[in-house]
Amino acid sequence: MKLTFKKVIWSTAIALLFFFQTIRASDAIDKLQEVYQKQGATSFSAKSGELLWHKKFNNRSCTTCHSSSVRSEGQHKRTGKVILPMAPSVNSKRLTNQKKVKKWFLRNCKWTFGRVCSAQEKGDILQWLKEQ
Amino acid sequence: MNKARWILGTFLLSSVMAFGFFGIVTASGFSSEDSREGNEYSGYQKIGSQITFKQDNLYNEECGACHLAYPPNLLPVQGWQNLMGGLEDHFGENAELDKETFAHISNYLEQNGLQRGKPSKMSKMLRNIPDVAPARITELPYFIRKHDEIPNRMVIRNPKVGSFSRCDSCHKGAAKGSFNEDMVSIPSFGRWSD
Ligand code: HEC
Ligand code: HEC
Ligand code: HEC
Repeated sequence: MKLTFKKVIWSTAIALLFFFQTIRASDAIDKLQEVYQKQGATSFSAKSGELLWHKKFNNRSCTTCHSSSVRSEGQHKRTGKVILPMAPSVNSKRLTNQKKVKKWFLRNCKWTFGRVCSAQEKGDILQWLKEQ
Repeated sequence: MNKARWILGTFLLSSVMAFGFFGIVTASGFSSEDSREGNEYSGYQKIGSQITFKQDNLYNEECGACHLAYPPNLLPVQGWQNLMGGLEDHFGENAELDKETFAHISNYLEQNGLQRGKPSKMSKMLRNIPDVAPARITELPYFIRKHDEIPNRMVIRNPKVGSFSRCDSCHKGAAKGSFNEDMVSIPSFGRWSD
């Protein structure tokens, strides 16, 4: 049995494919979106998510603290504390912990819109954010 | 025959890598839970040789999300208890915690908060406190006395400060519990000398 260069490349490529497949599948976002679908949400739209993120309600919006660009730092409206960028492409720690995401959706939807967000709305926002 | 071997080998290698990686991902997802145990040993913050207070990762993460994680030795234990009793309306914000986290943080604040008869670098913050301890550091009589000469234009009307609650804008060592008068620098105004 000969260990040819071609075979090594080939097997490494397949191994890498599996590797990246699991990163995606174990993503906190995917899991949360599954939960939201069980709660009645249909397919998720990044466009709706983006609109909701920028939607003004009583002069408040998600951008009030997270700034107008999710790739930039934000600032807490009341305390002035710097909030690191929300886009996973800039800040790889973002949206990696389900418990954290759930907690802040609850707090921030109430703060911004005066109500909780629906499963559909949360899934849409995540759909948009994960592409940023 | 050789081909079949290679396919099998590739499959096994990929699975092992995939599962290994899955392990890393899931493990890191729960790191905040794990660190709860580790906190007990994370040590004291030392300024020179003076022991100030113990750092706690969970406290820093949860209570440091919206503002500086206020060092626990800045309020009397009773003030912390009053504050923890109303997290669903925390100065107009919702700062509620799940039961487990709540218990951990309450315990941390009770262990490291100020108490009469218990020596601490910040014991002076206990001076003249009323019977019902305030839930704000900025309402303690000692705090007020130390800051009453600083004019509004350097604080409320200073866009780089905005409020006395932002200790870290003037005291660079605030997160470590260091409030030495000689190290104060007010943004746009610089060092303070009285
Ligand atoms: C009053 C200020 C404020 C507003 C308004 C706000 N947020 Fe946040 N948000 C925060 C803070 C503070 C954090 C936690 C700090 C951090 O993670 O850096 C946070 C964190 C989050 C997280 C968790 C990110 C992660 O890494 O897991 C999500 C999701 C989020 N916000 C979504 C929203 C959405 C959606 C809106 C609009 C409905 C919104 N936020 C509006 C202050 C705000
Ligand atoms: C959702 C955001 C948020 C979270 C989470 C949060 N706080 Fe606050 N906190 C605030 C705001 C807003 C204020 C008021 C600031 C002001 O008046 O300028 C405040 C004020 C305070 C003050 C009073 C500061 C002063 O003026 O003396 C203390 C003490 C405090 N917080 C402790 C905590 C503790 C302990 C926790 C964790 C259990 C916590 N905070 C979590 C938003 C938050
Ligand atoms: C606008 C800037 C500013 C802010 C914000 C501020 N301080 Fe100060 N602080 C000062 C100055 C200036 C002094 C020195 C006063 C003096 O020398 O008379 C001081 C003195 C002190 C002292 C006395 C130091 C000593 O050696 O005894 C303490 C303690 C203190 N500050 C704590 C705090 C805490 C806690 C906060 C946040 C809740 C805070 N400060 C917020 C400017 C500030």
